[in-house]
Amino acid sequence: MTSLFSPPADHWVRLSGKYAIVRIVGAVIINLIFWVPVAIAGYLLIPQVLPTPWQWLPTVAGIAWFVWRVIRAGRYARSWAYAERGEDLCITRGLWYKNLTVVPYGRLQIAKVDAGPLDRILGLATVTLVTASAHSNASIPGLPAAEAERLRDRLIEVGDAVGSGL
Amino acid sequence: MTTPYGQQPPHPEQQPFPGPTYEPAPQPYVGQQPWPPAQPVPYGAPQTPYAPPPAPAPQPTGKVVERAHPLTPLVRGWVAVVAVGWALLQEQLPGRHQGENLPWWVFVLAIFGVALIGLVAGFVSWRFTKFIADETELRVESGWISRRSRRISYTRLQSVDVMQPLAPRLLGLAEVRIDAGAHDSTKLRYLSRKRAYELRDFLMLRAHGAQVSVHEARAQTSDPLFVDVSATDKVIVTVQPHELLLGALVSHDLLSLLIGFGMPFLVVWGISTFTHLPMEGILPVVALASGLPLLISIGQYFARRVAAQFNFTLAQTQAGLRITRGLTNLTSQTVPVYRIQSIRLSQPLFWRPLGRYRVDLEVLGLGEATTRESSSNVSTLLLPIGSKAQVDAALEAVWPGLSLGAIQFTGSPPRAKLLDPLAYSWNAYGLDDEVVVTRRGWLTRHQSIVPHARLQSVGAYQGPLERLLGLANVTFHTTGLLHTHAVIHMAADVARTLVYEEADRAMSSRDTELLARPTAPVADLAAPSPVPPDRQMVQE
Repeated sequence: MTSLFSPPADHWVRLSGKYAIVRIVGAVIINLIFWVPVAIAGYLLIPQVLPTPWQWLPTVAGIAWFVWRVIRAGRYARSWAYAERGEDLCITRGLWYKNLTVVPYGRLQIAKVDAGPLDRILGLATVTLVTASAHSNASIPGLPAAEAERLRDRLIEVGDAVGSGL
Repeated sequence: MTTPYGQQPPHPEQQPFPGPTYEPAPQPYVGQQPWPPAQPVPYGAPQTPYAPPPAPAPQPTGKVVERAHPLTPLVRGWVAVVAVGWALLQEQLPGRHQGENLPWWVFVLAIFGVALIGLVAGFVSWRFTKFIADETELRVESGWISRRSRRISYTRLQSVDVMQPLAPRLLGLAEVRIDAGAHDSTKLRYLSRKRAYELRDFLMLRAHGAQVSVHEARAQTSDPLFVDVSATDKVIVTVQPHELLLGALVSHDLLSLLIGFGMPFLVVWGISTFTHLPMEGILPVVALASGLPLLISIGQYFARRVAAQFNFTLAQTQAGLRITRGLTNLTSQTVPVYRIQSIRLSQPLFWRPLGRYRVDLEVLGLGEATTRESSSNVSTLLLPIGSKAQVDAALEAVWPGLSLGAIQFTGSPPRAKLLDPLAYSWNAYGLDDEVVVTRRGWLTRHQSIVPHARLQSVGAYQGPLERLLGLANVTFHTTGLLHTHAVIHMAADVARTLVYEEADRAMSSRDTELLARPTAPVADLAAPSPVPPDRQMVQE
């Protein structure tokens, strides 16, 4: 049975497995920036209002959220995929809120490759498709760098051959 | 060979900082031959002994460099004078200062000083603003301290508007606003009204690719005083003032305004009536505090909805759709039809029994600054309020042959009632060969019409609840920033088919459009000639 997010052609091309690491490291950084101060503040301030076990509440919440992110990271990375279908590129992503974006090659105006410091260490890159619409929002993170550049060049070549953007 | 942007040979007239007096081009240089270009005479060709008498050349050889109207500094300065006068007058009011008031001559001196500064600033800005609009180029130079020279491609013009705010209008002046690209619009202020209309007509004809000369365009221009409609134009819809008033009165915007400002008063009044708290004392204070802003916002609301849209006229002209509106400030906006990316019909709750609609259009570059219906701005309104017949007439003018009535709509499956009890019966999409139409919204019913050829990408999304019910939403992305065109809560398999088939239609309809572009002259966008005509001249 084909559901809405079944592959449009033969199969989805999944991201590199390393993208999960990027997500986990991102979760660690957010934990350090947001949850650690909250947990310390909670530990110091809550005892003045509530009885003893409650001062651990922010700490427990932070740990729980972090564990949840780590568990989901692998599945989230696997949910993100792309496929070429005739004259357009399809991108799907998301676990709870599932998304599907179809960009006809002819509407492509810019194909970008971005790589942050962490991406570069892992040899990953993000390909973004820019159309004339601000709503299109089509990007594929966590591709191996060589694959990303190949995809970018291919998209632009096909886009040029297919036709006009605006 | 096309030279990439930014590598064009320097324009011979664009020396880095030309002095203020360089108007006459010393000699016609290459690429600035008089129009139409003279037949090339091969070098060394035998000279005809009897040169034919030179035909009366309609074009001067040098560039016609124009300036804004000399009254401009006066118009731009008076606002400052009024502001200072008002401030000083308030100082003079008795009771503001416990001590003695300022002597009268300070008052007079300050006004004169400000007036002088305003006039000088206005004069300097006027002195350094020049523009050229001829067969080869459209160029605007401005700035005294930092110079700015803009050259705009005729074929990429998005819209040209003529604005007449009250003060310039009294003096017979008008502002020309040229929109191209996503950049802020280029303003020429102020020209005489006649020249403004002439320039607008010329630019719009060029935007449609017609190779008219300045003189031909000038001959076609009329000089209307109240409604900007010439004899050759076809008026499609005129909105009567009572319709505007009706639309403004019967709207939930007004209701929410009343509720929002009236609520504090009602709360305090209720407390004082039904309890024994001593609240009577603060009742007048609350009434004043919420009543005054209420009056002001209601005034603004009617200025926006009625005065700014007064005498709203939609006309089909040779140069595109023209929208003229305004009571004190007359605005005339012209949009090339092929630049329209999508159209949205809206029907607020209270308009439903009246059978009235509002129509907005989406044009690239009109941008997000235009969502407000302010009097001085360009807006995206195609029709502020109109009956079914008027809406159909307006749509017919934009996309001839489109008939909304003939389109079959596909709605949500009954299980969608759980998620969307109010809008369930309205949510739907419909297709024909040219457009996709989506319907959504419960308080205000929206209907978006997007031509397949203007679609940029297609998306679908599904939340956890929708997944349980086997529903999904489909969005259609266009260049507009204002609205998203979405159809929500469709059956998931219907949504899947819609997404992929719509992507195919988007490509194939664009291909056919490129092959046979509706307005023939615009074909130079796609025609074999790699350079648009206005750039060709420079690159020879």
